[in-house]
Amino acid sequence: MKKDIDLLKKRNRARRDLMERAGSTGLALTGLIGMLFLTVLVWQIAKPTFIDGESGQIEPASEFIPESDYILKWDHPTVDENGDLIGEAVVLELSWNDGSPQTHEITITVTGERGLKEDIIVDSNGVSTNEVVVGKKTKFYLLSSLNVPVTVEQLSGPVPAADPTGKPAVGAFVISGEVDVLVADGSLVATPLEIVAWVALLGAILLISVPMPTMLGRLERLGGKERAVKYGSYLLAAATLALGAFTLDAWLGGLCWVMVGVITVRLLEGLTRLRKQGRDPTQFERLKHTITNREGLLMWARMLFAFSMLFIPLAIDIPFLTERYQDIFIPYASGIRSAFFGTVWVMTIAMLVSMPVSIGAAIYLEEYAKATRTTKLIQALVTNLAGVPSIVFGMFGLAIFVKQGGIGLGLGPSILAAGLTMGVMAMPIIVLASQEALRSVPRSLRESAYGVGCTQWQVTRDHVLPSAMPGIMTGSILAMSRIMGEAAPLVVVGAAALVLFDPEPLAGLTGGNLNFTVIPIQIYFWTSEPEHAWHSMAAAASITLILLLAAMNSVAIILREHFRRRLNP
Amino acid sequence: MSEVIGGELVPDSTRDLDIDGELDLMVEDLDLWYGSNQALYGVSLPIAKNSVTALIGPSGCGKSTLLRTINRMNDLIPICRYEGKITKGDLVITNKGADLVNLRKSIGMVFQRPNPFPKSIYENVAYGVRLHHQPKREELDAIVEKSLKRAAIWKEVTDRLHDLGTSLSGGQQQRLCIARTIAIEPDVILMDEPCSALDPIATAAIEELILELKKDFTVVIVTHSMSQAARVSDYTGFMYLGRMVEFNKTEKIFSEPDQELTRRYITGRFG
Amino acid sequence: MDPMERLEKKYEPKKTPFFNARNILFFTSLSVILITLGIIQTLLFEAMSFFSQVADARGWFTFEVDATGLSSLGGVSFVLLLLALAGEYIIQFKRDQLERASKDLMLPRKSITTLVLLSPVFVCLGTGSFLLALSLMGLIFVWRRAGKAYLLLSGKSETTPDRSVLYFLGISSLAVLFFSITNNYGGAFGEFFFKTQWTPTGACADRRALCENMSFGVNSLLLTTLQVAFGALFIAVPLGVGCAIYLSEYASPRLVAVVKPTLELLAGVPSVVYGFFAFIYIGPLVVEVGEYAFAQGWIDAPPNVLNPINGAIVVGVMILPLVASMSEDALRAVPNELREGSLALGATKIETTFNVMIQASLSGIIASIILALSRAVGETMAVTLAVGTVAVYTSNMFLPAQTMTAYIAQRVGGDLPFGEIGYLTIFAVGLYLFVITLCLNLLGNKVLSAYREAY
Repeated sequence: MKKDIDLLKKRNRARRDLMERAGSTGLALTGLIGMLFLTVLVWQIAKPTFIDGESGQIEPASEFIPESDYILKWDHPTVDENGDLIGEAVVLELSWNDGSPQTHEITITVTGERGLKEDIIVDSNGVSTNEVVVGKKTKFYLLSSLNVPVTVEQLSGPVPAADPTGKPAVGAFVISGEVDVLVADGSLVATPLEIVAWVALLGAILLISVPMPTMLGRLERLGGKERAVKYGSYLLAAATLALGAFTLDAWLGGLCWVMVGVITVRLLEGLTRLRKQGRDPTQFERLKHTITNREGLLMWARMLFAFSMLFIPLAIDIPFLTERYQDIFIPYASGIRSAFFGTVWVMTIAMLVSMPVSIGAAIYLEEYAKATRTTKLIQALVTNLAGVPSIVFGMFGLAIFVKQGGIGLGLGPSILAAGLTMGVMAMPIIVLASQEALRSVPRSLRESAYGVGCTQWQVTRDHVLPSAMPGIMTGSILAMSRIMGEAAPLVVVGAAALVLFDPEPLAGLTGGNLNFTVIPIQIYFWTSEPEHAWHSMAAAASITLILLLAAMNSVAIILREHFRRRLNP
Repeated sequence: MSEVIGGELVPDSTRDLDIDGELDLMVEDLDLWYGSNQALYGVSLPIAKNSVTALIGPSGCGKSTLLRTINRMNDLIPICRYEGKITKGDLVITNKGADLVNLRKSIGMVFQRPNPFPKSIYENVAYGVRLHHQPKREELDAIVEKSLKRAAIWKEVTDRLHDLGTSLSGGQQQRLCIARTIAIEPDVILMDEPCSALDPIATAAIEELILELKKDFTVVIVTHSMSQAARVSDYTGFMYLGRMVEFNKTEKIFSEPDQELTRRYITGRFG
Repeated sequence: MDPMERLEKKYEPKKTPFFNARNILFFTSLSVILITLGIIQTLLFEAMSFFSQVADARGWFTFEVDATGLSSLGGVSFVLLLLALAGEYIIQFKRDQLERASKDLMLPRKSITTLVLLSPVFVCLGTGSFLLALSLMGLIFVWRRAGKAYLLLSGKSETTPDRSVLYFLGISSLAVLFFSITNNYGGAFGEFFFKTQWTPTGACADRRALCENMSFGVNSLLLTTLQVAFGALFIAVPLGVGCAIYLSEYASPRLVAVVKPTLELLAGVPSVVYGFFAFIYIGPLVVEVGEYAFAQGWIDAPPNVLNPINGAIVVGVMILPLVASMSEDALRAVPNELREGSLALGATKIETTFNVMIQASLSGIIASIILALSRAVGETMAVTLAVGTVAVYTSNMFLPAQTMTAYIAQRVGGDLPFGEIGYLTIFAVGLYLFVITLCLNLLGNKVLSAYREAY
């Protein structure tokens, strides 16, 4: 039978198929390009520090300051806090041979004043001066109009700080020592027992999450010795603690052992139960359901595993992480210690301020608020505040928290002001996430609680909040990781480029050293430096920051997955 | 042969598949799995041309799955795989290399919930035609009008052809979906519980429409309602736990079923 | 006492204390209002004191009238808008007149419509005038409305006139008229909004107080910001939306399980790290391209490592995950039945995607683009490191420039004393930035919530 529709002109089928193939390939390619960007990003950041094995060679100064052949650099232990000279002056011997060999001694004295400088000019007649007085942290240049190399030798005076050998190696490149950025000593902080504990935890997690019949079969021989396993794990934990001298990593190692003990005991119990029922206990699908509270156990074990990864196997003695920022002149000897503590304090204050307020606001908006004009306004404000550029929050912080006068609190460019600013910035994010979590609590739960006569507050406190807590926690962790990477508001608030001491969190109130910095700010200022060596430092700090963020996000993801599975099995 | 499942004696899928008239579509020995769960066990089903075949059975018995296999909509579910053969004339539908575009063009489908596209009523009907053909505007106008008339909705929408399809009521939306399906003039129309989301009046309209459609199309309908199956269909297949327990003419099934299980289901003892 | 009475007394409702849970929670939520008011107060107060300081010396708003401007592009835009206004008037009040129009004019072939819809882009590129392109877009918008009204003529459905379109067109044509016959804007507002020279420090002896050499034409910063933001969208929208479509329509669940966390990770990388990436990697690449362009004579000055293209690329990469994941959410929210409905008619996957899925999720995708634009405009650290610190706008995107956010970050980097003119400028710029992003967010969230209601 001929249909009416067949009388119409047909579309070209081959062309349709071609479109299909071309379209899907094209879309897949766009997806790939996103991945490519990430790869290039990580590669380009990691390359200068890790892959090239960048290790403290400073390029000749002439690359950056064309008129100068050499830059002389010292750390300044020679000047005390008041700027008075402590040590002796630096005496250099310059020698060259351009037909007639010459040797000159130059005495360099450092004073407390900044900015005082006098360049040394070398030409065929000799040196311009034999006595140089310069201010601390001041660059001055050795300018040469000769076309032969000048040998610079240090005769006396303090050793350039970046030379680890202790030899006053003043040569063509003033700092020529090899100072690795990230793996100076490469020694592990953790004791062997801690590492064994961590690996054992990994094994235990694998044992209760993937089917491994042979391993389970072997484990079954331990059946009946649950008590021994339990006390054995306690013993190992105690040994780990003692060996590790009760440091944080020792505690974590001990916890790992206890966790391994608990998992093994639960496994053994499950195996025994199955054996009693006359089933093959090594059949994983059955075993999975026999282990008491397997999901919860798995979550805690995974979180412990993720957390201790930073402190046990990755806790290499890395000067970069443990050193303070040394000096404006010495890239490879600097570290992010001050910045790290700054970040920790700023986040602590921000979270202390914003979490109670934001969660309270979210509860009010979701549970109590009726659709009045005020609550609609609040809701709209929250949604739109989340999209306000972070730098605007910084200006808010600058006017309200930092500056004195008007409505300003006058905390100065301190950690307290920065923490409050970041707290305000995190608020809308946490409110939105908490609202989402509260909304996902099923209505039936509330109704059943009301059904037994709870007041509204009791319903919220005892039933709604506990179910919504994982969502709220996840949202808060994500907000934390967001503010951890945020630099713009703190630039406005006034984070410093150079902090030589650990920050004081309450300096804004009590007085004292206000200076602080955070890791993103440190990256920003290091990137702004002209010399390539600082860029390596910025790259190392970036990688550190990304790792920290990834660790926090993975904790959030583990939490989310666990509770999602628990709520809808 | 039969198996006892959950205290119920379930016979194997029936081979007693006689139909009058011309055969349009044939399902043979279809086994289907979702992951490791088997959903269909050796199901066979003949579908007669220009007739209405109804599939009934309790929830989860596999009737929708069977229907969705006929135009290979199950391919969209990644964990689904099947063995067996479905043929339409010379065309083997279940072949790997079967041309899905032409297959779905000749086997249309109407879904449980009305799903008009977020386009105007006119565009909804024209969409399928434009996919396969390049009609002139007058031709397209004619097809849209004809399809809407055949779906018995033309009078209601003639003034508002350019309103959104989603602005219609549920029953109208479902008839619009039927119009959309018949606009490309398929041979077979599969209907997956087309009335389950509708009120009784809309249901009556759709049932009337199905009887009308029978003249030009072969209709396979999955339904929960036994009375609906009795009203509209010529043949009825009763499915239970993935097996085609009984297939026969509708009058026969509802008056004197061969199987004890069928008798108990249609008298409302279980399910 | 009677036991019943005792019970009643015991369960007599107590007076609720003022500090009950409800009120405390209400006060916490009020803090949101406080913060918003704080932000607005801070910005507004300092910005107004900036404007009034400038106004004291130079007046609020001055301009010169020059009727010859009507013969320029501005005049053409005005005429276009008048035409649009007239068309809209006919649509709303003289609808029956539409019947006299020819069918070919009202409902042309699809290819012609597409061409006309694209014409503003060509006009913009050809004449370099945004205003003309916008007016043309207004006219085209009215033309399409007329086409729709023409289609509906046969129907009996009565639509109420939508006055807001009329008012909007009227006000904008008046504004265009005003700006086409005036020039040389000055004074606090005239200078800030209409000049393109930003030298807030000037060559002055005392930089703290206002002096003659200072110029506050914020367009210099705004135009760079827009260059960067739209450049970023140019990269992020095709890639992000393509990625979203691929993930929701084509990718296997296993691939999605890998790509989605990767996207989340990309979205979580701090902007300063992206800035570093731009500085050490993208910048030199762009310079190579720029040098080639310079050698070919396409641009008039040699490229610099810091430039808006660099910024646009890096901000594009930054907002890509945002666009991708929000668009993917929008596509996933479309009921599966629509997809199946289209496939059941014999459509191929790509036809389903482009004809049904995208149309169904369009407002969600648009919302994601608007919110991404807002993010791009407000992005600070990456552009500070990538675009440079030279507050001079040129159309040559290979030269260093400065965005609004970068200006603020750079300016406060030096310790600014409270109250001096440089300190006040950042609040004026900040307020402008805040208003722009707030408008974008309001628009984006409105579109988004409308979309959520639809599904």
